[in-house]
Amino acid sequence: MESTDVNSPAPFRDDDTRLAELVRQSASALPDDGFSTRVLAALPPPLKTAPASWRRTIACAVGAIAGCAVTVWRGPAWSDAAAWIDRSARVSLPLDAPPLSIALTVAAVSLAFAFRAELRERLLS
Amino acid sequence: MTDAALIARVLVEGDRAAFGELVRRHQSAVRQFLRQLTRHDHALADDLAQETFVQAWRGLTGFRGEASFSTWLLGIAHNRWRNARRRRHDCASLEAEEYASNFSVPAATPRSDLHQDLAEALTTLSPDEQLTLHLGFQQGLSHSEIAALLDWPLGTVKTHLARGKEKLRSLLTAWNPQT
Repeated sequence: MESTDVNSPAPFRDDDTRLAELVRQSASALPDDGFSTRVLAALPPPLKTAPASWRRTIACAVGAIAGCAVTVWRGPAWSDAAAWIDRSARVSLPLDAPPLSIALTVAAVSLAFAFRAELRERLLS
Repeated sequence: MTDAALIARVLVEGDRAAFGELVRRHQSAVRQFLRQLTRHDHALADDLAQETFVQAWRGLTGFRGEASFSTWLLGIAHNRWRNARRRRHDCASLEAEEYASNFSVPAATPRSDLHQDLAEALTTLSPDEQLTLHLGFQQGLSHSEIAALLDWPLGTVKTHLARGKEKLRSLLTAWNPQT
């Protein structure tokens, strides 16, 4: 620290600013001295709690495609779709319909897989 | 590159180099804070600092950006220190004693400049006052951030800070002859 600065007279006369500055200066930054290297060496394998976004996208896309495939394969004919949707809206979702149940299950499983890290974190916390 | 950009790279790509840069930027603050808490046991402080950064790496998805990254790290560091104390003494009540007489008193030195006098004056403050001054002045945390970090009431933080400053002024009156 520069002696010309720190030995200036009456350093605390006006307010806290000078005192705060002196206390701040009394702790110089610690040199790294290989600390960061040791930390990096101690890190566990790449983050499993944060899957890369492309993996999440693929998981969701696979789930969506599988759900669509099941719906097209076992779902109502397109000609019946309008009536089916209209009926569903007025009554309730036909969750007991096998194609819809399968599609919803596939979607739920793919979402759970895509967000498994977050789910695990929340369940364990 | 900002901390936020580095954090994003770590989260999206698992970029260790980006995390290494974060460690280099914040290691000094974390290690100094832990040295305050560990009675200047540098080896223990560095071990806890390393644990702090490893935990930060594992839990980076939990960083919401509500506080600064530095403050978030200090929170982890404080928890690591508390856990270490509990493990060592198997008694949380000892934490208060750990704060007591918490700071090494340097060897007597000629009162040749203000910084030497300040260093000596700081060692005469209570541990809580020193900790509060360290976080407020050296780490640049606000009163509310200190209160949240240490889990103290805001009024307690303000009291420690005010008492610490007043004691320092009193101890350093020789440098302030006109007051």
